[in-house]
Amino acid sequence: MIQSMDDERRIFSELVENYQKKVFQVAVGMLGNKDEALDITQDVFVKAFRSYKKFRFNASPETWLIRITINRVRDYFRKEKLRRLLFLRPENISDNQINTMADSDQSPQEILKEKQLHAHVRAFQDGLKGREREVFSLRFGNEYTIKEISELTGISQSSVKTYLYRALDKAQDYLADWKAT
Amino acid sequence: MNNIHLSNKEIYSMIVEPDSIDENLQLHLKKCPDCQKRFNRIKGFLKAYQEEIEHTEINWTREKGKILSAVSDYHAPALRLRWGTAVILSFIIVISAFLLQQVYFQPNNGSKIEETELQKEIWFFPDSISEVELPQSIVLLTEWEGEDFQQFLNFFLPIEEEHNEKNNSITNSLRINRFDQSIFA
Repeated sequence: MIQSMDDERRIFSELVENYQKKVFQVAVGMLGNKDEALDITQDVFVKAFRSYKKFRFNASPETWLIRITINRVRDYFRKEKLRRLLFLRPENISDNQINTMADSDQSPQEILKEKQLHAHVRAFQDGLKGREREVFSLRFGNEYTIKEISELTGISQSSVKTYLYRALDKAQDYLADWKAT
Repeated sequence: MNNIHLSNKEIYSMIVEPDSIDENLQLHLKKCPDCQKRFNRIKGFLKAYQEEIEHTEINWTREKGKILSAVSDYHAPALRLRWGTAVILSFIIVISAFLLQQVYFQPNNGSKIEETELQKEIWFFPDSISEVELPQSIVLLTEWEGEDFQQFLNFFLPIEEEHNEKNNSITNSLRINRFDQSIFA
Protein backbone atom coordinates (compact mmCIF):
# COMPACT_ATOMS: atom_id res chain seq x y z
CA MET A 1 0.00 0.00 0.00
CA ILE A 2 1.39 3.36 -0.97
CA GLN A 3 1.49 5.58 2.10
CA SER A 4 2.46 9.02 0.87
CA MET A 5 3.37 11.06 -2.16
CA ASP A 6 7.08 10.60 -1.37
CA ASP A 7 6.67 6.83 -1.18
CA GLU A 8 4.74 6.87 -4.40
CA ARG A 9 7.47 8.82 -6.17
CA ARG A 10 10.21 6.62 -4.73
CA ILE A 11 8.48 3.44 -5.91
CA PHE A 12 7.85 5.01 -9.28
CA SER A 13 11.51 6.04 -9.51
CA GLU A 14 12.47 2.39 -9.00
CA LEU A 15 10.01 1.38 -11.69
CA VAL A 16 11.67 3.80 -14.11
CA GLU A 17 15.11 2.52 -13.12
CA ASN A 18 14.11 -1.11 -13.70
CA TYR A 19 12.12 -0.80 -16.91
CA GLN A 20 13.19 2.28 -18.86
CA LYS A 21 15.68 0.32 -20.92
CA LYS A 22 13.16 -2.39 -21.74
CA VAL A 23 10.52 0.17 -22.72
CA PHE A 24 13.05 1.97 -24.89
CA GLN A 25 14.13 -1.25 -26.60
CA VAL A 26 10.56 -2.16 -27.47
CA ALA A 27 9.94 1.36 -28.77
CA VAL A 28 13.16 1.54 -30.78
CA GLY A 29 12.57 -1.93 -32.20
CA MET A 30 9.19 -0.87 -33.48
CA LEU A 31 10.19 2.62 -34.57
CA GLY A 32 13.80 2.18 -35.68
CA ASN A 33 14.46 5.72 -34.52
CA LYS A 34 16.38 6.50 -31.35
CA ASP A 35 15.11 10.04 -30.69
CA GLU A 36 11.47 9.16 -31.23
CA ALA A 37 11.91 6.06 -29.06
CA LEU A 38 13.31 8.19 -26.22
CA ASP A 39 10.37 10.59 -26.46
CA ILE A 40 7.96 7.69 -26.39
CA THR A 41 9.75 6.14 -23.40
CA GLN A 42 9.21 9.37 -21.50
CA ASP A 43 5.54 9.53 -22.57
CA VAL A 44 5.01 5.94 -21.48
CA PHE A 45 6.23 6.63 -17.95
CA VAL A 46 4.21 9.83 -17.63
CA LYS A 47 1.15 7.88 -18.75
CA ALA A 48 2.03 5.08 -16.35
CA PHE A 49 2.36 7.56 -13.49
CA ARG A 50 -1.10 8.94 -14.24
CA SER A 51 -2.70 5.52 -14.01
CA TYR A 52 -0.35 4.15 -11.37
CA LYS A 53 -2.99 4.14 -8.61
CA LYS A 54 -5.39 2.21 -10.82
CA PHE A 55 -2.79 -0.45 -11.55
CA ARG A 56 -3.72 -3.47 -9.42
CA PHE A 57 -0.64 -5.55 -10.22
CA ASN A 58 -2.81 -8.26 -11.83
CA ALA A 59 -0.23 -8.22 -14.59
CA SER A 60 3.49 -7.75 -14.04
CA PRO A 61 4.74 -4.13 -14.22
CA GLU A 62 6.70 -5.09 -17.33
CA THR A 63 3.60 -6.37 -19.16
CA TRP A 64 1.70 -3.26 -18.11
CA LEU A 65 4.45 -0.90 -19.31
CA ILE A 66 5.05 -2.74 -22.57
CA ARG A 67 1.33 -2.64 -23.35
CA ILE A 68 1.36 1.11 -22.83
CA THR A 69 4.44 1.32 -25.06
CA ILE A 70 2.83 -0.66 -27.87
CA ASN A 71 -0.30 1.49 -27.75
CA ARG A 72 1.78 4.65 -27.68
CA VAL A 73 3.82 3.52 -30.71
CA ARG A 74 0.61 2.63 -32.56
CA ASP A 75 -0.68 6.15 -31.85
CA TYR A 76 2.60 7.54 -33.11
CA PHE A 77 2.34 5.61 -36.39
CA ARG A 78 -1.27 6.70 -36.87
CA LYS A 79 -0.29 10.35 -36.46
CA GLU A 80 2.79 9.91 -38.63
CA LYS A 81 0.71 8.35 -41.38
CA LEU A 82 -1.65 11.29 -41.28
CA ARG A 83 1.24 13.76 -41.40
CA ARG A 84 2.75 12.02 -44.38
CA LEU A 85 -0.63 12.01 -46.04
CA LEU A 86 -0.81 15.75 -45.60
CA PHE A 87 2.81 16.17 -46.79
CA LEU A 88 3.76 17.81 -43.56
CA ARG A 89 6.75 15.62 -42.94
CA PRO A 90 9.23 13.82 -45.17
CA GLU A 91 9.16 10.04 -45.03
CA ASN A 92 12.90 9.59 -44.74
CA ILE A 93 13.93 9.88 -41.12
CA SER A 94 17.14 7.92 -41.45
CA ASP A 95 19.29 10.76 -40.08
CA ASN A 96 18.07 9.91 -36.62
CA GLN A 97 18.42 6.19 -37.00
CA ILE A 98 19.94 4.24 -34.16
CA ASN A 99 23.71 3.99 -33.97
CA THR A 100 25.50 0.93 -32.75
CA MET A 101 28.81 0.84 -30.97
CA ALA A 102 31.70 -0.28 -33.10
CA ASP A 103 33.93 -2.90 -31.54
CA SER A 104 37.46 -1.50 -31.42
CA ASP A 105 39.00 -5.01 -31.85
CA GLN A 106 37.47 -5.44 -35.30
CA SER A 107 39.44 -4.87 -38.48
CA PRO A 108 38.35 -2.03 -40.83
CA GLN A 109 36.91 -4.61 -43.24
CA GLU A 110 34.92 -6.23 -40.47
CA ILE A 111 33.66 -2.86 -39.24
CA LEU A 112 32.63 -1.92 -42.78
CA LYS A 113 30.91 -5.25 -43.28
CA GLU A 114 29.09 -4.89 -39.98
CA LYS A 115 28.06 -1.34 -40.80
CA GLN A 116 26.71 -2.52 -44.12
CA LEU A 117 24.80 -5.30 -42.41
CA HIS A 118 23.28 -2.89 -39.90
CA ALA A 119 22.37 -0.49 -42.70
CA HIS A 120 20.59 -3.37 -44.42
CA VAL A 121 18.87 -4.35 -41.19
CA ARG A 122 17.52 -0.80 -40.87
CA ALA A 123 16.38 -0.76 -44.47
CA PHE A 124 14.69 -4.13 -43.96
CA GLN A 125 12.98 -2.84 -40.83
CA ASP A 126 11.65 0.17 -42.73
CA GLY A 127 10.18 -2.23 -45.28
CA LEU A 128 8.05 -4.05 -42.71
CA LYS A 129 4.42 -3.11 -42.34
CA GLY A 130 2.72 -2.08 -39.07
CA ARG A 131 1.86 -5.35 -37.32
CA GLU A 132 4.70 -7.26 -38.98
CA ARG A 133 7.17 -4.76 -37.61
CA GLU A 134 5.50 -4.85 -34.21
CA VAL A 135 5.63 -8.61 -33.71
CA PHE A 136 9.02 -8.95 -35.41
CA SER A 137 10.52 -6.41 -33.05
CA LEU A 138 8.96 -8.05 -29.99
CA ARG A 139 10.07 -11.53 -31.02
CA PHE A 140 13.56 -10.93 -32.40
CA GLY A 141 14.47 -7.57 -30.90
CA ASN A 142 13.18 -8.25 -27.41
CA GLU A 143 12.91 -12.04 -27.29
CA TYR A 144 9.31 -12.33 -26.20
CA THR A 145 7.61 -15.67 -26.85
CA ILE A 146 4.65 -16.07 -29.21
CA LYS A 147 2.31 -16.38 -26.23
CA GLU A 148 3.71 -13.25 -24.59
CA ILE A 149 3.46 -11.29 -27.84
CA SER A 150 -0.15 -12.39 -28.19
CA GLU A 151 -0.92 -11.16 -24.67
CA LEU A 152 0.92 -7.89 -25.15
CA THR A 153 -0.52 -6.98 -28.53
CA GLY A 154 -3.96 -8.57 -28.34
CA ILE A 155 -3.24 -10.45 -31.59
CA SER A 156 -3.99 -14.20 -31.67
CA GLN A 157 -1.01 -16.57 -31.51
CA SER A 158 -1.68 -17.93 -35.00
CA SER A 159 -1.77 -14.38 -36.42
CA VAL A 160 1.47 -13.56 -34.60
CA LYS A 161 3.11 -16.55 -36.30
CA THR A 162 1.71 -15.53 -39.68
CA TYR A 163 3.14 -12.03 -39.30
CA LEU A 164 6.50 -13.45 -38.24
CA TYR A 165 6.68 -15.88 -41.16
CA ARG A 166 5.81 -13.08 -43.56
CA ALA A 167 8.50 -10.85 -42.04
CA LEU A 168 11.05 -13.68 -42.26
CA ASP A 169 10.12 -14.17 -45.92
CA LYS A 170 10.95 -10.51 -46.49
CA ALA A 171 14.19 -10.92 -44.55
CA GLN A 172 15.10 -13.88 -46.74
CA ASP A 173 14.35 -11.89 -49.92
CA TYR A 174 16.32 -8.99 -48.57
CA LEU A 175 19.31 -11.20 -47.82
CA ALA A 176 19.14 -12.74 -51.30
CA ASP A 177 19.10 -9.28 -52.92
CA TRP A 178 21.94 -8.12 -50.72
CA LYS A 179 24.05 -11.11 -51.61
CA ALA A 180 23.33 -10.62 -55.31
CA THR A 181 24.59 -7.00 -55.14
CA MET B 1 10.09 -31.33 -45.26
CA ASN B 2 10.64 -32.47 -48.81
CA ASN B 3 13.07 -35.26 -49.65
CA ILE B 4 16.04 -32.97 -50.20
CA HIS B 5 15.86 -29.82 -48.06
CA LEU B 6 13.84 -28.06 -45.40
CA SER B 7 11.18 -25.69 -46.67
CA ASN B 8 11.31 -22.00 -45.73
CA LYS B 9 8.32 -22.49 -43.46
CA GLU B 10 10.09 -25.30 -41.61
CA ILE B 11 13.17 -23.16 -41.11
CA TYR B 12 11.03 -20.27 -39.93
CA SER B 13 9.20 -22.47 -37.44
CA MET B 14 12.56 -23.53 -35.98
CA ILE B 15 13.56 -19.87 -35.63
CA VAL B 16 10.24 -18.56 -34.34
CA GLU B 17 9.63 -21.36 -31.84
CA PRO B 18 13.00 -22.90 -30.96
CA ASP B 19 11.56 -24.66 -27.89
CA SER B 20 9.18 -26.76 -29.93
CA ILE B 21 11.35 -27.90 -32.83
CA ASP B 22 10.31 -31.12 -34.49
CA GLU B 23 12.97 -33.82 -33.95
CA ASN B 24 13.02 -34.85 -37.63
CA LEU B 25 13.66 -31.27 -38.68
CA GLN B 26 16.43 -30.97 -36.13
CA LEU B 27 18.05 -34.15 -37.38
CA HIS B 28 17.90 -32.96 -40.96
CA LEU B 29 19.39 -29.63 -40.03
CA LYS B 30 22.32 -31.32 -38.33
CA LYS B 31 23.03 -33.43 -41.38
CA CYS B 32 22.35 -30.99 -44.23
CA PRO B 33 24.98 -28.24 -44.74
CA ASP B 34 22.79 -26.35 -47.23
CA CYS B 35 19.90 -26.09 -44.78
CA GLN B 36 22.34 -25.16 -42.02
CA LYS B 37 23.64 -22.36 -44.24
CA ARG B 38 20.13 -21.02 -44.89
CA PHE B 39 19.25 -21.33 -41.23
CA ASN B 40 22.43 -19.60 -40.05
CA ARG B 41 22.09 -16.82 -42.60
CA ILE B 42 18.68 -15.85 -41.25
CA LYS B 43 19.90 -16.29 -37.68
CA GLY B 44 22.85 -13.98 -38.39
CA PHE B 45 20.55 -11.37 -39.83
CA LEU B 46 18.32 -11.57 -36.76
CA LYS B 47 21.33 -11.29 -34.48
CA ALA B 48 22.37 -8.09 -36.27
CA TYR B 49 18.83 -6.82 -35.85
CA GLN B 50 18.90 -7.53 -32.12
CA GLU B 51 22.29 -5.87 -31.71
CA GLU B 52 20.97 -2.84 -33.53
CA ILE B 53 18.37 -2.49 -30.79
CA GLU B 54 20.37 -3.54 -27.74
CA HIS B 55 23.59 -1.68 -28.33
CA THR B 56 22.15 1.78 -28.67
CA GLU B 57 24.17 4.33 -26.73
CA ILE B 58 21.94 6.00 -24.19
CA ASN B 59 22.75 7.87 -20.99
CA TRP B 60 20.14 6.15 -18.84
CA THR B 61 20.74 8.27 -15.74
CA ARG B 62 20.02 11.42 -17.74
CA GLU B 63 16.96 9.85 -19.32
CA LYS B 64 15.66 8.77 -15.93
CA GLY B 65 16.09 12.35 -14.71
CA LYS B 66 14.08 13.61 -17.67
CA ILE B 67 11.29 11.14 -16.99
CA LEU B 68 11.09 11.97 -13.28
CA SER B 69 11.14 15.67 -14.08
CA ALA B 70 8.24 15.21 -16.53
CA VAL B 71 6.38 13.20 -13.90
CA SER B 72 6.91 15.81 -11.17
CA ASP B 73 5.47 18.49 -13.48
CA TYR B 74 2.33 16.44 -13.75
CA HIS B 75 -0.47 17.34 -11.31
CA ALA B 76 -2.77 14.62 -10.08
CA PRO B 77 -6.22 14.53 -11.73
CA ALA B 78 -7.95 14.89 -8.35
CA LEU B 79 -6.16 18.17 -7.74
CA ARG B 80 -6.88 19.42 -11.24
CA LEU B 81 -10.51 18.39 -10.86
CA ARG B 82 -10.83 20.29 -7.59
CA TRP B 83 -9.36 23.44 -9.09
CA GLY B 84 -11.52 23.11 -12.18
CA THR B 85 -14.68 22.68 -10.10
CA ALA B 86 -13.77 25.67 -7.93
CA VAL B 87 -13.26 27.87 -10.99
CA ILE B 88 -16.55 26.78 -12.59
CA LEU B 89 -18.49 27.29 -9.34
CA SER B 90 -16.99 30.75 -8.88
CA PHE B 91 -17.99 31.65 -12.41
CA ILE B 92 -21.56 30.44 -11.86
CA ILE B 93 -21.85 32.39 -8.58
CA VAL B 94 -20.62 35.61 -10.19
CA ILE B 95 -23.00 35.27 -13.15
CA SER B 96 -25.94 34.41 -10.87
CA ALA B 97 -25.22 37.38 -8.63
CA PHE B 98 -25.09 39.69 -11.62
CA LEU B 99 -28.43 38.41 -12.98
CA LEU B 100 -30.12 38.64 -9.59
CA GLN B 101 -28.91 42.17 -9.20
CA GLN B 102 -30.37 43.04 -12.61
CA VAL B 103 -33.76 41.58 -11.73
CA TYR B 104 -34.31 42.60 -8.12
CA PHE B 105 -32.18 45.58 -7.31
CA GLN B 106 -32.30 47.67 -10.45
CA PRO B 107 -35.04 50.20 -9.32
CA ASN B 108 -33.40 50.77 -5.97
CA ASN B 109 -30.02 51.72 -7.26
CA GLY B 110 -31.44 54.44 -9.50
CA SER B 111 -30.16 53.12 -12.78
CA LYS B 112 -32.51 53.25 -15.76
CA ILE B 113 -34.04 50.27 -17.43
CA GLU B 114 -35.31 49.97 -20.97
CA GLU B 115 -38.99 50.78 -21.15
CA THR B 116 -41.46 50.40 -23.94
CA GLU B 117 -43.46 53.43 -25.02
CA LEU B 118 -46.50 52.05 -23.28
CA GLN B 119 -44.67 51.55 -20.03
CA LYS B 120 -43.37 55.10 -20.16
CA GLU B 121 -46.84 56.51 -20.68
CA ILE B 122 -48.39 54.39 -17.98
CA TRP B 123 -45.65 55.50 -15.66
CA PHE B 124 -46.84 59.06 -16.17
CA PHE B 125 -49.49 58.31 -13.62
CA PRO B 126 -47.93 59.43 -10.39
CA ASP B 127 -47.18 56.70 -7.88
CA SER B 128 -49.27 58.53 -5.34
CA ILE B 129 -52.41 57.99 -7.41
CA SER B 130 -53.40 54.52 -6.47
CA GLU B 131 -57.00 54.78 -7.54
CA VAL B 132 -58.14 56.01 -10.92
CA GLU B 133 -61.42 55.90 -12.70
CA LEU B 134 -61.09 53.09 -15.16
CA PRO B 135 -63.18 54.47 -18.04
CA GLN B 136 -61.33 57.78 -17.96
CA SER B 137 -57.98 56.03 -18.03
CA ILE B 138 -59.00 54.01 -21.01
CA VAL B 139 -59.99 57.12 -22.92
CA LEU B 140 -56.64 58.71 -22.18
CA LEU B 141 -54.68 55.69 -23.22
CA THR B 142 -56.56 54.95 -26.44
CA GLU B 143 -54.55 57.66 -28.12
CA TRP B 144 -51.89 55.05 -28.71
CA GLU B 145 -51.81 53.21 -31.92
CA GLY B 146 -50.38 50.03 -33.40
CA GLU B 147 -48.58 47.48 -31.28
CA ASP B 148 -48.54 49.66 -28.22
CA PHE B 149 -52.28 49.96 -28.32
CA GLN B 150 -52.67 46.23 -28.76
CA GLN B 151 -50.38 45.74 -25.82
CA PHE B 152 -52.47 48.17 -23.88
CA LEU B 153 -55.62 46.25 -24.68
CA ASN B 154 -53.98 43.03 -23.61
CA PHE B 155 -53.25 44.61 -20.27
CA PHE B 156 -56.61 46.18 -19.67
CA LEU B 157 -59.20 43.90 -21.24
CA PRO B 158 -59.10 41.36 -18.43
CA ILE B 159 -59.59 44.23 -16.00
CA GLU B 160 -62.47 45.54 -17.98
CA GLU B 161 -64.08 42.13 -18.00
CA GLU B 162 -63.65 41.90 -14.28
CA HIS B 163 -65.08 45.35 -14.00
CA ASN B 164 -68.19 44.30 -15.96
CA GLU B 165 -68.62 41.28 -13.80
CA LYS B 166 -68.72 43.45 -10.73
CA ASN B 167 -71.66 45.30 -12.27
CA ASN B 168 -71.76 49.05 -11.97
CA SER B 169 -68.59 49.39 -10.02
CA ILE B 170 -67.31 52.70 -11.39
CA THR B 171 -63.78 52.80 -10.12
CA ASN B 172 -61.07 50.27 -9.77
CA SER B 173 -57.81 50.39 -8.04
CA LEU B 174 -55.03 49.98 -10.52
CA ARG B 175 -51.52 48.98 -9.58
CA ILE B 176 -49.06 48.75 -12.37
CA ASN B 177 -46.05 46.61 -11.91
CA ARG B 178 -43.52 47.84 -14.38
CA PHE B 179 -41.25 44.84 -14.09
CA ASP B 180 -43.42 41.92 -14.94
CA GLN B 181 -45.87 44.11 -16.88
CA SER B 182 -48.89 42.77 -15.08
CA ILE B 183 -51.71 44.93 -13.84
CA PHE B 184 -53.78 44.09 -10.83
CA ALA B 185 -57.22 45.56 -10.55
